[in-house]
Amino acid sequence: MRLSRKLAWTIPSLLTVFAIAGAWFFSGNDKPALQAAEHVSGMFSPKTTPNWNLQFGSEAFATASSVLPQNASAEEMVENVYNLLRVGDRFTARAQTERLLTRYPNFQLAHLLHADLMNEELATPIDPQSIEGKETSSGLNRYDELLLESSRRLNRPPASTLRGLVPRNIVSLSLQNPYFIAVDASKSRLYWFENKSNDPLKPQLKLLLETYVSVGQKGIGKSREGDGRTPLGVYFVNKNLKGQPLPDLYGAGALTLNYPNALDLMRGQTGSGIWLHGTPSEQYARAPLATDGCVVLSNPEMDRLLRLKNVEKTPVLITDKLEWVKSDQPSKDREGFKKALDQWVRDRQTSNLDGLKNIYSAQFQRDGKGLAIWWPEIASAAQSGAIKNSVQMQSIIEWKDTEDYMVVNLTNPNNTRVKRNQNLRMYWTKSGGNWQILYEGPA
Amino acid sequence: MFFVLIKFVKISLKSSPWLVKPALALGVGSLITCLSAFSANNNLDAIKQSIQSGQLDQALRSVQQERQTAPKDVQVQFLEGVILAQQGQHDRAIEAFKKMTEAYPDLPEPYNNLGVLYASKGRLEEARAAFDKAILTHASYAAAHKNLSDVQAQLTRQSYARALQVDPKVKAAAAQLTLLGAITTERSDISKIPGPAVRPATSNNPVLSELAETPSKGGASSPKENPAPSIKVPVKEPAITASAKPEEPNPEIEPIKSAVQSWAQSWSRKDMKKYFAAYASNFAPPDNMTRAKWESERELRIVSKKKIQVAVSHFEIDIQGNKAKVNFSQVYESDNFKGNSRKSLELTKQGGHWLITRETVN
Repeated sequence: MRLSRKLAWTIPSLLTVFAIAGAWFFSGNDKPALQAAEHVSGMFSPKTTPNWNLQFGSEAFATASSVLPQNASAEEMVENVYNLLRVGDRFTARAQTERLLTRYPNFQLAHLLHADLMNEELATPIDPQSIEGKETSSGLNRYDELLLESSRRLNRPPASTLRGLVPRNIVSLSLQNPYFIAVDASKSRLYWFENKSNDPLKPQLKLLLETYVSVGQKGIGKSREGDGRTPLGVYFVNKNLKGQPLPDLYGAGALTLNYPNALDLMRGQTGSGIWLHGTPSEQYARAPLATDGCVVLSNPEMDRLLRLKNVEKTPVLITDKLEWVKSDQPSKDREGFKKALDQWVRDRQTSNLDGLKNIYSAQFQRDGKGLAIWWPEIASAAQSGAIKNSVQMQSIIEWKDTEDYMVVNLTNPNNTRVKRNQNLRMYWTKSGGNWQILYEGPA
Repeated sequence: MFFVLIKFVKISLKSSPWLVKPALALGVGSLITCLSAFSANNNLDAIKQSIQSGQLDQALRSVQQERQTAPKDVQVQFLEGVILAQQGQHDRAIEAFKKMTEAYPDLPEPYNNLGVLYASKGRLEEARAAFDKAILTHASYAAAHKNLSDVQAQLTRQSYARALQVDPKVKAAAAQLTLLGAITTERSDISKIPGPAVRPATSNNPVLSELAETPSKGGASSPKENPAPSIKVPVKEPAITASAKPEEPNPEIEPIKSAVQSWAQSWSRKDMKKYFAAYASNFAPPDNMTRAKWESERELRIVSKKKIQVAVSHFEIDIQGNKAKVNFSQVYESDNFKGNSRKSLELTKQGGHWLITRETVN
């Protein structure tokens, strides 16, 4: 990567190839960012170039602009500074950095940029590593945290390359879900989509916002309370806490999530209070790995999301690495699941209790109790007349870790008996080649 | 990239010999501003007019004629270089300015233009060296340049501190900037500068001499150590220039030096009694102050400081009987200030002691 960067400096056309390939293949690997050095001052001899922290992201954000739109985000402004440096316009780069700082005075990464730009002009540059930064919780020093943040921001896949793509995990998404949220922890990005699917099985999404986020200081894969990790899985927004008095730590506000979900509980995971929230006033952005497990957005972005209506129940997919597929090409390997789901619907409608029971897994669990406890309720629902109503599927989201799962939300066909508008959530799992129900309960 | 080629130099005004107007941007479109074309020579004015109206060939011919009548005229040599540069004859222009820098190493303008021309040819290292030399031709420029970079170093430190979320005030050591103790003697009129061989004597100002010897690149000491030029740097221990013949050094030199040193020491220690005792009873305080008023002002000044450090060096001693005049360099450092100046003391020998009768800052 280092070599390719050097080449890239002399042969700009190569940069396109390397950067686009690099953005995708190396973005999980943060090492290049940490050793990113000496690219900018091509005007001067590389020998005299000080430790240069700045590094270039993908060429895909090609054009440097001396005038940015008034509503340019902090990240776009940072990006533009890099682009200006790439074309050698240090003067404008510095002016824009100063503007960026006027607008976002607590954006630490912008301060680092500013410091680097000034340091580069010094006859005897300062060694930034000599300045001891604030103590961090991630184990990285603050300086390396900022470099990581910069690398994550600049190596993100450009929004334009995501057009027509949707997260692979979406099997079905009806218009009852106005939004879909996906977090790619390895890239420190959150994608907020508007649901435009005419056919729920061919999800079509419009990217409303994609933004830098911070996750747990110890990374991902939460299992215990206080482990400093962000959980991976399929979650749903519970509440929008906009306007509620929250400590400064939460910034613009918060959306709560349903961690631990049914699967987490079955696995004995503990912890609570995993939210999407804003940043404290002293920081425009937090380090990539910084939270106690929450997913943290900068306040302007968080505020924008909190203003949206009907955000509750929005699916939130939190992955280590998001996979993208073309929206009009649903995976073929889901036929088996669809058959099983159809069978379940038929067995319920025809009150075929023997057949129905076969679909429920021996590992079925709800509130810590097994199928023996819950079967009578399930069976009686299947026998009631109301079940003849057609089942309305809201969403089906796939989750794979050690096993294959499907998280299904549907409008409860029993809604004349049970509380109105109460929805049903099911967790299906594939065992021995068959899809079976692991959990069923109110959503 | 935008370099300014200095086209015409306003050189002879005593009050501001350094006023130059950038006239031409080389490489990136050219801009000709109104020029402060002071010149004693009417022919030069004509040449400048020719240049302005774009008649470069004509201008070059005139300059070459002028050079025959006045081969040593700096202005004419300089203009020749400017015209060559404008004509695009960069190599010849480089030669012209290079010769000038050898002949007149104290003029910044030829160095500047040489730098611009090097840069236009992509010879950036050489360009940089030339610009460095342009700055170093003048002690005040060099000091201002150094101070600027020290302040920028501090700003940089502060920015890093903000990025790393630590208190910049705590982490950034206060910069020690150089305060010039005196206005450097004006450059003499360029046309009077003697020919190539003789380098006009640079002043004894240690700020100047030290900066002049500082390697232009990377030579600055790291900000942590001591960014201010310090006279500790041993410059070939110049100069106890006593009026006595060298083979028979005046025996009073050492007593005088030690009197000055102990005066500086008592000042550093804030030992007011000893400090005042260094002054003769007929000492003339500045501004016609009474001795009592002067003493109380000095005491207030000195005692109010937490820490004072006064170092003296580079003595020049002139002894006439029981009177002596001592010129020396003084570095004064207090809580938040560091200054470097050239000082004179007049002393008389009274009762076996050399006492100060007059104190002046040069």
